[in-house]
Amino acid sequence: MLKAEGIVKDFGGLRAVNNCSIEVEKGSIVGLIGPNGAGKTTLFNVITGMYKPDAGKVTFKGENISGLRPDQICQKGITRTFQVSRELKIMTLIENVMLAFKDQIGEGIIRGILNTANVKQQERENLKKALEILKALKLYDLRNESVVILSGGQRKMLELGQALATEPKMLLLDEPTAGSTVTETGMMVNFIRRMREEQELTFLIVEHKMEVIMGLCDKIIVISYGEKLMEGSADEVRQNEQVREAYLGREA
Amino acid sequence: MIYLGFGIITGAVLALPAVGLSLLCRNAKFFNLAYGDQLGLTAYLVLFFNVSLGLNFLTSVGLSLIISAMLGIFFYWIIFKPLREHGGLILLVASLGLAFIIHNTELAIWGPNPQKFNIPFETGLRLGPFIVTPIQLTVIGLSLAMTGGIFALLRYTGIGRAMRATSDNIELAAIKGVDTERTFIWTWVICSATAGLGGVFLALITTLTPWTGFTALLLLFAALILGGVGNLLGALVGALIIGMASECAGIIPVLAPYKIAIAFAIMCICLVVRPSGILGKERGF
Amino acid sequence: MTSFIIGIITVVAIYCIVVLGLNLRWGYCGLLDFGVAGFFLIGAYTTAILISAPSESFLFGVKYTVGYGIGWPLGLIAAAVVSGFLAFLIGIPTLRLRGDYLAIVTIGVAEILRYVAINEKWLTRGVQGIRNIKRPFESFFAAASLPSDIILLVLTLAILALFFIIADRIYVSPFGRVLRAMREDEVVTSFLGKSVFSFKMLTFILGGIYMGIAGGLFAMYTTAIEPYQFIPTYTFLIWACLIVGGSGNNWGAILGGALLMGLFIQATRFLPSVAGQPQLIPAMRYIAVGILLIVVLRLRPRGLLPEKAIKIKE
Repeated sequence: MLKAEGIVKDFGGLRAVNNCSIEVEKGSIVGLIGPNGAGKTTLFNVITGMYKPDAGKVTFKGENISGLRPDQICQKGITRTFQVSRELKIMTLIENVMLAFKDQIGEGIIRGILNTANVKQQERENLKKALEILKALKLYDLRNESVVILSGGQRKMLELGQALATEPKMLLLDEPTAGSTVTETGMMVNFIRRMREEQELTFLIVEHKMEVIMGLCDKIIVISYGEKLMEGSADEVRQNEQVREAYLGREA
Repeated sequence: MIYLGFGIITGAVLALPAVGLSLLCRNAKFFNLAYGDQLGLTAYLVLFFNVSLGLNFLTSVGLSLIISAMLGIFFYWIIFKPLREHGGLILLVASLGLAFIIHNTELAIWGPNPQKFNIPFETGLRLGPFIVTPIQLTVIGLSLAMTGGIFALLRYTGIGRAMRATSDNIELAAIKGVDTERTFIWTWVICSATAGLGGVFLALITTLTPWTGFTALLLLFAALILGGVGNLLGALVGALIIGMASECAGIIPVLAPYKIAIAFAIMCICLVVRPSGILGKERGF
Repeated sequence: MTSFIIGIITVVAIYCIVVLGLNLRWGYCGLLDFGVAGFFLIGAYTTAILISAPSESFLFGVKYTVGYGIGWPLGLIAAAVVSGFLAFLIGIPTLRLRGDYLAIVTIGVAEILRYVAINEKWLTRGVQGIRNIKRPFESFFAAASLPSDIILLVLTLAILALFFIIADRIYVSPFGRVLRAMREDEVVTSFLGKSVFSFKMLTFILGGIYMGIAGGLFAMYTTAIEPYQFIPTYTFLIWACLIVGGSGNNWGAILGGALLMGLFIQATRFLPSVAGQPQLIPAMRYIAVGILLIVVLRLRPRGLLPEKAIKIKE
């Protein structure tokens, strides 16, 4: 579904991503691991349009999306979350989710001012959908609260909820369990599995927690110093010498 | 040809405050809209000492520069430092407020009419195809020399290195032991002094009104954007180009009153074609 | 006396429209517009040129005719269109860049417009300005009469009310939701699929329309305009109104406009002017406003009235 071929990204004199190629099949959950600074987030940023690749191209469902703007890529069906979750603190939870829905008629300035019947109708429908999303994430009771009272794990869940509201075909999650408690991590993992089953979503996940990656992912890609070290199943990765050296040694 | 001469003079005079403004913006992380009026204010202070009090011109300049530098620190303490937490946009609004306070103070005290310093009138000398007065030559020379001085300061002195460090990465600088607060104060002092000197030079080559500062501000920002925001050499190059281009526009009679507009048009084209400026780096501040 | 009071309310209402326009740009969208006077100018001059009866001026023996004598509704609409278009032109290069750049460009554009007004005498009669701008329904009610003042006041208040309602509706609409999101974090909003540039551009244009129509009303109010009425000082005053009143809040915009433009500027008209220094008192007023602006920024940056809270009904 998603193919990134030969991606190169330089920052000043530093090469953050060096000729990296990854592929994510439809309906799979792929993990992206590697030491800090290996270039995982940069790769995310290139795929989702924050940076233009200096070389290489990104295709999604056969279509070339390299160099598109982030909002365009989101419209194509790829949504990402952030390493340090960036929800909008001035808004309540429910507003954060309602913001994210696609094709809102009320976002046109004239229709928004006139507040016609179909704008109101769509707002009601979106509100229902948003409440359901929050219920599924166990955040329903906090729906009218400001985001600032959420815990780290809850913030990540909210971010995921926002991402789901954009009706994506594929989700790129950057450390979705960072700052989460054990319970919250478990919830997140189950939720991702559920989404794959029920909504047929495809996932590419950056993670540092080994138990999450090993338990969740069909395929794992290892990145180190901006290059793809190897890819394979959880067992293959666990047993690979280079990977152990580069990374797992400390955690295994 | 005369226009080219004016252009060179204007460019040279703008060079020093342009570099100063670039340095200030890089360190303080916002566009200081009051900078232009700091130029004008110092010129008015010189007017006060020189014309009203009858002091010798050079003494007047010296005193005014000192006061200007002190005012710079004052503005930093009272206005810009406490608002730093709110971010660049609020600082911009505050600097606009300050610019108007200064502008109207000048207007209130000295009135709207053009003023001139109390210095002997001079006739022009012929220098090749140009006609220049000795004062204009001195101004060009001093301005360029001082600009060079700023570069030397940044390269070779301790405070210069400190300023470069804090403008690049303030947390890193603090960790390495740089006294960032002292550096900020010194930055404001130096940059207010460059503004002040720029104002004096400018008043020497044209007349002084409460709008001189503001108009200079427009030209300076055009210079900065053209040369690349955050790039000091770019500010110098930008100032020279803007100075020359705006004056040379006077060649075409219909464009003569629009000298500022030409500078702006250049700036706008630059923003569309190459927002990072001629010499700019992508990161801006 | 009544005429005088009606006049003050009218001009304050006109400035309140401008502050509403600025609130759209800065309060809702975080756009730094330091060229308010420019949009106001272009609205005023467009209306003035279109509305006033053809009048002739002589310059170095050459005769210029300025004025087309068109009716006031078209004059105002034209002001809106021209001002909105100006916003569009400015927006294309600058809205994709950092906010500070918009600030600088708008300052410059406003000043350039003023130079054009001063120098292009064939269009604007230069520093003489445009006189005898027709009031609405001037054939029935002479310009200097009380009924004419009342008509203009009613028109201004009606437009102010309409613009207020529009601005308020925007705030609670999904469009407004995206604006509030963008103000806090443009990156995230973009990644959620919203085209940030279009939202900024639409808001910028609408703000321009507000300011342009206010300019047109101003031209009809004063019946004579000249370039000096559009100096950057007025941009600064409008900003002060918004910051003091409460940016992000439309009532705050009105409050700030009424307080500053009404009380402050108009009320101190009664102070005797110092002989020989006619600019002293006005200048001191502005100094006071500037100090007030900075004090408010330091002590209560949100202004007097905070932003409206949004409640979602279920």
